[in-house]
Order: sequence, then C-alpha cells, then structure tokens
Amino acid sequence: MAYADASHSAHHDTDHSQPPTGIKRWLFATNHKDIGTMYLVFSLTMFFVGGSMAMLIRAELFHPGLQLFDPVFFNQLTTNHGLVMIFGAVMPAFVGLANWMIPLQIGAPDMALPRMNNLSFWILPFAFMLLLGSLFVPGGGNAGGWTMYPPLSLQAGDCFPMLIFAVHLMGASSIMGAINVIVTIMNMRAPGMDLMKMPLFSWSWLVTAYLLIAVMPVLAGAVTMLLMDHYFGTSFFNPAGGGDPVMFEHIFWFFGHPEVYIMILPAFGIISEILPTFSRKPLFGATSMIYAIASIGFLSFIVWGHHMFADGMPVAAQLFYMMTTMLIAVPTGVKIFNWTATMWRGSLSFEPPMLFALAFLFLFSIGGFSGLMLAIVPADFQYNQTYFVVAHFHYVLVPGSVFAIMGAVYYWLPKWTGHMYNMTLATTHFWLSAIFVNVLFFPQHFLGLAGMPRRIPDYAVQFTDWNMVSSIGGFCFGLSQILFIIVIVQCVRGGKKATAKVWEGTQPTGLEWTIPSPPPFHTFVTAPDIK
Amino acid sequence: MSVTEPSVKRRIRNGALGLMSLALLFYFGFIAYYLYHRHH
Repeated sequence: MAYADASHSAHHDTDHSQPPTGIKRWLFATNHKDIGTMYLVFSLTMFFVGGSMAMLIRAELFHPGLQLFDPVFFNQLTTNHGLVMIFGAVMPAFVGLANWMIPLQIGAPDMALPRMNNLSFWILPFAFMLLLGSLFVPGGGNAGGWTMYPPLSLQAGDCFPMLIFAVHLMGASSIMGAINVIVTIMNMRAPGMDLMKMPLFSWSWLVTAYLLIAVMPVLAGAVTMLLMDHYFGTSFFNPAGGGDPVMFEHIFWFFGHPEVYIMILPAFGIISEILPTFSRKPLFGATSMIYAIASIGFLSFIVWGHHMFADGMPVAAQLFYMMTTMLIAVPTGVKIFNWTATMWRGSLSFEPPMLFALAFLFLFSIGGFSGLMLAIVPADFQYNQTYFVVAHFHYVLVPGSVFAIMGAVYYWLPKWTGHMYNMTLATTHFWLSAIFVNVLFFPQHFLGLAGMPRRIPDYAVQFTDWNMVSSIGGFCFGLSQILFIIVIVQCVRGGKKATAKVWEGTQPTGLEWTIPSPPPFHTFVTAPDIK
Repeated sequence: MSVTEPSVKRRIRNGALGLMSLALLFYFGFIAYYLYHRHH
C-alpha cells in the first residue's frame, strides 16, 4: 500500500482553524482528537480507581482471616472493580484510540457524527458518578458481582437503580460510539482506501463496533428486566414469582462473551500495527488477519454457554459450546502464527511499544490456553468458581488488553504530542509491569487448581503463601503504573521533537505517519491521494 | 468525496439511523422474546 504525501493538505488545514480555548474546548468538543484525548484521560483515571479497589482486595487477601473489611464491603469491591475496569478503563481506552486513530488512518477529516461523539463521551462521567456514588448510599454498593445474577442482585438496596441506570448510560454511550465508527469507516474513507487496504487497527474496530451494536442492547434489555423485577413486581428472573434466573444468565452471557472480544479485538489490531513497524517487515498474511478477526467476531456469538456449564444443560448443548469455544482457537492461532511470521527474519528493535506487543504475544497466549482448558466441560466442573478462572481472565485482560493499550499509547504518543518520551523510564515501566503482572496472576492458577474459591475475603490457611505472593505482585504492579503517568505527563509537557514518521529507521504504514507530529487540529480536510 | 456532499451526508444519516434501529430491535427483541418464552 503506498500513500502519497498527505502533509500538504495537513499543513493547509492549520491555516483556517485553531482549537477553541478554555473549558469550552472540552465541554463542546467535536474534534475527534480532543474527544479521543478525553476518552483516554477518563480511561486512565478509571484504571487507577479500579486499580485502587484491586489493591484493597489484594490487601485483604494477603492473610487468611478478615483484616480490613467486612465481607459485604469486600464483595462490593470485587463487583465495582470489575465494572469500573471493563466499562470505565478498557472500553473507553479503545474508544479513545479509535477516535484518535481511525480518521487519521482512513484519511477522514473527523468522525462522521461529531456531536454524537461529544454526547457519547460526556455520558460516561455521569454514568460513573452514579456507579461509584452507589458505594456511598445507605446499605452500601452492589455486591452481587459484575454479572448481576438474580436473585442475589435483586436483594440490593438503594444502590441497585443507580447501577442499572449507570449500565444503561454506559450501553448508550458504547452504542453511539460504535455507530460513529461504522458510519465513519463505511462513508469517509479517502478515495482509493479500499476496505482491504485499511489498516488493521481500523479493521479490528469495524468488527468490534458491529459486536457492540448487537450485544449492548441485549445487556440493556436484561438489566431493564432486572429493574422491573425489583421495583414493578414483575417476575422475569425472580423464581419466587415463577421467573427463571438461568434465563438471565443466558441473556447476560449472550452479551458477556462478545464483550470479551470487544475488549480484545482492538488489541489484536494494535499488535498488528506495532509488530510490523518494529520488525521492519509488512504484516504477514494481512488478508487472513482480517478474516480471522471477522471469524472471531462471528464465533463470539455462539459460545456463551461455556460460562454456564456448571448450571446444568443437556449434553448436546455442552458439546456444542465446548466445540465452538475450541473452534475460536483456530482463527486466534492464525493470528499468533502471522504475528510470529511477521517477526521471522525481521530486523527487530525493542522500543517500549514493541516490548509491550511481545509481552502481549506470550502472556495473552497463556490466557488463551487456560481458556481452552476451561472450555473442556468435565474440567470446567472442577475449575468453575475457583481462582483458576480469575487467573485466566486476568491474563487475557491485563497482559492482553491493558498491555496492548499501553503499547498503543507508547506507539502513538509522540504522534499525538509531537514529543518523544523518556525511553528509559518507559522501558522500566514495561519491565516492572511484565514481571509483576506474572507475580500477581500466575500463582492464582495454583490457588485455583488447589481449590481456592473466588469472590471470598477469607480462605483456608493452606492458600496463604501463594496469596501473599500474588498480593505482593499486585502492590508492585500497581505502583509501577505511576511510571506510566510520569512518562505521559513529561511527554505532554515537552521533550525531543518527534518527526512525522516518529519511529525513524522503520517503515510504518498508514496515513497517520504522513502528517506532522503533533497533527494539526484539523487533518485531511482535503482527502489524501492513495495510490 | 467530501462530507459536505449531500449524497455522503444522506448515507451517513441513513447508516446511523439503520444501526440505531438495529440496536433498538435487539433491545426490545430480547425482551419480547423472553416474554414469548415465558408464556409458551
């Protein structure tokens, strides 16, 4: 794929528009870069809020017995940690990256619906004020787990409607963001930018956006029915009135499993951008990567039952969900193979984005393999509700999604700010994160296999040693993230000037590297030429 | 192609409305499906 120099149109754009100043710039933002920045800052804030909850959880679990809180508050922490990290940290981070990068990658002047873009961001702070505010109402916050299974979740007090309204708002925000991504990609690509020429990050987001539109309304429907059960006397899920709580689980996981892929497909796109750049080779099998993303997206809709094996279901259904779940390993294997082949005989260099991408490759695979173990029905009966499950999904989400987000920030930060960041500090951040994420989560496999149940504040003494190791890993991982803030703040404030291509000596493909660093407030008002 | 062209504006508007309708269909569809499931 060859792009003509688009800097002419980019330079031209600076002549006629400067960003508004003061608070209005952010409150009434319609510029995709400003909205992207707000999403990323919001996500980072929530990462630390959710991370603080995780620190408290690990502090309580450092020793057996009850040290710091009563069990109800512990359950409130686990519930809200999950909700904050999923809906507040990971998803908004990807939406922020999409806002920043999709228009730049496809040569569009902005997102297709900029005012809706503003609304979808500004909904989020209110949603999280409600969610976090629910911790302070009489009776405390929601403690029934992020999955909100009835009838337990229906026993909540005043915090319950706050949770439901917050989930509705988050869903509305995500759906609007997804609509924006799809209509932008389908209608605003620069002439000559065929879909198959589109960069992998934009492709991964196109599939993710369709998943979001299909499943977020399903979650909204499920929680609406929960609200009706709680306040309007219906019995959708309340067994006391003839309702079916297992049906909630089916509806929830019809949302919940594609949600897992919503949090990992954009990460796949990011890795597909970083690895070729620092291998100095084109992405191996780019077309098959696109088909693999689409296949994973499709399969994500037909595997939800694997979350419910232990509920009891017909053997035929167990076999179906087991097989379809294992089938996902095929397109995922294609991706891992292609990433490895991209590096094969490449001229590798190990800048921070590449380090995070490499760690992703190894550590996400660990989460993938433990996922395969959990897909085996009889084995799942043993692992179910143990720390093995906690270890599995944290491997997928932390050194998977979160490392990809950090890699993306380190990859594009010089483009966004126009400054190179402190490489030594960023590399230190990587090594501390990569070491301590394993100290934190790997022992949880052992705990789970030994039978330690999840979602408990106290445990039998034989689990003490690995819990202490895990907690120490957690505290160190958490503290290491302060370096991330320092690197970002330093880079925003100044530093060595970044060139348009940023990563000298590499051949990054994509239109974003043809415009200056930082990009002007408006880019690609005149569509670039793509040969 | 420019976003100010009426045909592009129309495609963006129709695309957004279509996707929003799809989302609403999923929202009400699942509730309707569940009600049907309960009564049959």
